[in-house]
Amino acid sequence: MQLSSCTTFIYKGGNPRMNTYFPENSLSKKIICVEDHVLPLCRIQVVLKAGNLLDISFDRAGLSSYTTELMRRSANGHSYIDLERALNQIGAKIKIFVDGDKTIFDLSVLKEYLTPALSIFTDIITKPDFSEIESDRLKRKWLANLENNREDDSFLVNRFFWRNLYGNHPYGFPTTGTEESISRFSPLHAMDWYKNNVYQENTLLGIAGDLSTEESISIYESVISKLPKNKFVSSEDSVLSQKFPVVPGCRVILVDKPERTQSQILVGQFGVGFSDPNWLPLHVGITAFGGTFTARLMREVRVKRGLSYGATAHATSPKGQGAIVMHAFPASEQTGETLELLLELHKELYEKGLTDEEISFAKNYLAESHAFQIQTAEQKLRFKTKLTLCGMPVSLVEKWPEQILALSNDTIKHVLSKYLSPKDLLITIVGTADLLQGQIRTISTLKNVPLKILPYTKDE
Amino acid sequence: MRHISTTHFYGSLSIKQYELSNGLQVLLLPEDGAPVVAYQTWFKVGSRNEKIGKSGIAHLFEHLMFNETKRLPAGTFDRTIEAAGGHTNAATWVDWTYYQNDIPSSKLELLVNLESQRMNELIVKLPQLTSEREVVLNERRFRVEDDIDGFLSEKLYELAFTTHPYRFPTIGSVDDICSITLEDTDEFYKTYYAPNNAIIVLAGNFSTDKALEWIETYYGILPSQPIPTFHGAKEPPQIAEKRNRYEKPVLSPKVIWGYKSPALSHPHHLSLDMLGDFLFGGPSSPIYSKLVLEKEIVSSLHYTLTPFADPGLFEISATIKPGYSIEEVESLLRKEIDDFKERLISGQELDKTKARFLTGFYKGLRTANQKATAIGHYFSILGDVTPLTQLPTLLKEVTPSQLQELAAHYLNPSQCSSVVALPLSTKEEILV
Repeated sequence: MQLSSCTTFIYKGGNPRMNTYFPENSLSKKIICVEDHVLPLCRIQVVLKAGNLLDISFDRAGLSSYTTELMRRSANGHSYIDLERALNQIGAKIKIFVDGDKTIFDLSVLKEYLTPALSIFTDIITKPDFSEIESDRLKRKWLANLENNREDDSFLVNRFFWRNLYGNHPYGFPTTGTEESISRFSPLHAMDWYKNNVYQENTLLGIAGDLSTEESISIYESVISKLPKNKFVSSEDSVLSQKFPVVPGCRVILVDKPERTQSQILVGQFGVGFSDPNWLPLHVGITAFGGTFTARLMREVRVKRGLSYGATAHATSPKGQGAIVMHAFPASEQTGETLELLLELHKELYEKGLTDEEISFAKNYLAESHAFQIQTAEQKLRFKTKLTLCGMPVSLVEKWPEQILALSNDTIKHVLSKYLSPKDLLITIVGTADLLQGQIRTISTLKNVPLKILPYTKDE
Repeated sequence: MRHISTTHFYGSLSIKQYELSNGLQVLLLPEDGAPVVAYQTWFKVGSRNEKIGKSGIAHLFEHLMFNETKRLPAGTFDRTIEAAGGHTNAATWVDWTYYQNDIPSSKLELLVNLESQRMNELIVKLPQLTSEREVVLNERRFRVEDDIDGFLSEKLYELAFTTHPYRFPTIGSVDDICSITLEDTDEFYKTYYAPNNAIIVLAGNFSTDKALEWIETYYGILPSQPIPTFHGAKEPPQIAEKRNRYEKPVLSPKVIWGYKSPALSHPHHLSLDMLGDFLFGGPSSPIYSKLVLEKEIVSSLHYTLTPFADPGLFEISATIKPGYSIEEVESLLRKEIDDFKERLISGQELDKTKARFLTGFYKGLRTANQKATAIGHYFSILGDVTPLTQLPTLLKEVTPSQLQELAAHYLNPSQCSSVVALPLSTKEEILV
């Protein structure tokens, strides 16, 4: 496969070491390559345009992760240990990342060991064995990991929050499943998933580091071209396009865990997806509110009152509908006070908005700090992959600061007032119920809201 | 500004060392790349320097450094950095405290100015101390009281060290944190925050001449001061195994074993780190493979080797699977270690550890911040960056027999302290 022509794009601002190539042929939408030859490191990513959105019901939560992890664990007649020994011998690593919108098979290796690493990588993606033995081991490992993760209060508050916000939409499902769903999976499920989702048209190749365009094309030919071709059918469209109506009224989910000296609090609601024209102004507005150390939220919660080690807010950015979330973690006895303050600040943001100074500050901060988001070849690749998967032009990587600075303050204020909904929030708290229930009920706006207490050891 | 040395790092990059007349050390790593810089100030003071009854002061003081100075109103420092598109943070550990800033290159002079003010003109008032004390207590709850790994780590060091200050937690005990006064923080600042106790590390895209000019302008006028010599008691040799256990609301038992290990400066340190990686570093490592994959008696197994100025610990941590006892796991772990002491591994087996280390070395140098942090850590503890820059060469020289000798020397039960967290309902026998 030859290049008819190619475009070299140098990062504006003078990063001459990093070149991004866009081959002018049918591969232009299939390969993203960001060269950087200073360090002898290579990063190769096969991106499936399919993530756990395909775990279409809660009893299948984790199937996408299970399938891709099982691919990782045996391939072309080699067991997990065989593959690991071969990778370790050359200092290479293969990891799988799954989120709602995509699955990434990620290989990192020193340049001198690229060939043997690529051979293993190709086998995992194109010749998985779906071994029964490895499946059983994987399931046991995951069940043990899940138990370990329940020791982590941050993990718990996120798990319960997203499940309750998105309900039966896969965005809210735990990526690595539940005790019930994991126990049901079998290699047959995985083979079925593989057949339906792993084919050429559904993949993208991402390259970062000490590799040239020619090498990228060669990798495409040796890996992606070996996958079956299929008529691309987006199985996600109906799920992605689903919009979530505001659930009227506030709800409180209290995840009960014994002997907590501190609570983890997430307060949130729906927002918009990354490709929605309102996402960027919403992102700027929420950054002004709670996205930096000197933003209003941190100032009020931590600096003035010392209530929490951290207090932040952000707008998530999936392909489908996103969310706006606040986070704080106060001492148990100050949970009520902190939660009440978060709700007041959210309401004040909705009713009175941001000052022009706050907005200008956030715009400038995001524009100026963009250089850190794309400092390395891998970071640049990540951003470009995100843009590509959302159907947005990759040129936005360099134009991102301009886009931010071009937003008017009125637009940002308008978007905030359009999407914020202080009367319709989901509140999730991990803490010791006996210490917290009374505190929550003293908050006037929460006196009569539904309060569900759940054990931390089980998913609903 | 006196040029001390230039040390080749990798590729076309070299670290240039300078010194001001007031003793301030400056390490520069210029490179063509993204238009950003990482500017860090490393103070050679950590929790090891704290007085009895005032544990946590180094860390609490780190929090107070983000407030006002004689020329900067409260909150201005952070706001100014963020207005410039930068990030600022800090960390305290046993041997150092460092302040890191990542900022667009065009704002470097601004940053040098601000940082020089913090070193000499900080003002701390009671409301700030009170507020930050609450923040630190919350941080302690987050990292220790509600975090089982943090809790066990604190208990391990309390057990393993009897006289050395490493036995005290860097975050401090609740009582000590609450006892710290304005006078304490004032004394701490005046004692340790001086140019002759500091190292500036600057990495990224900048002009060396300009950087030196600005550093000389803003720091050159700061006076040096006498820095107390560290008088922390030397830890006596451990001669017998030590154990403690705790009942906690955990779902599975957790354990950390800590073997006495050498300081970062010791010739054994790198090899011992490689030994840890060889035995525990991943699915194909023999002990990981045996305990996690083959026998499946632990669900997680990790090692870490402390990179301290004084001897520290080689830690192995594990989560035990239901149905297995600590005794069983420990017995199997020790058998595997003993087997390793008897069996000389091949050069090819060791090569995989070398390959992993080399990959990890390069991965740890991708951003300006990572480079600056690596340089700052090594220089603040060793006064020398060559153990870092020479790492790719040094690791090639390690031999299988060296690893075997190190296992025999360091991984002995008499050198081991262990702490265990058992689920509240456990009726397991106490090990003695």
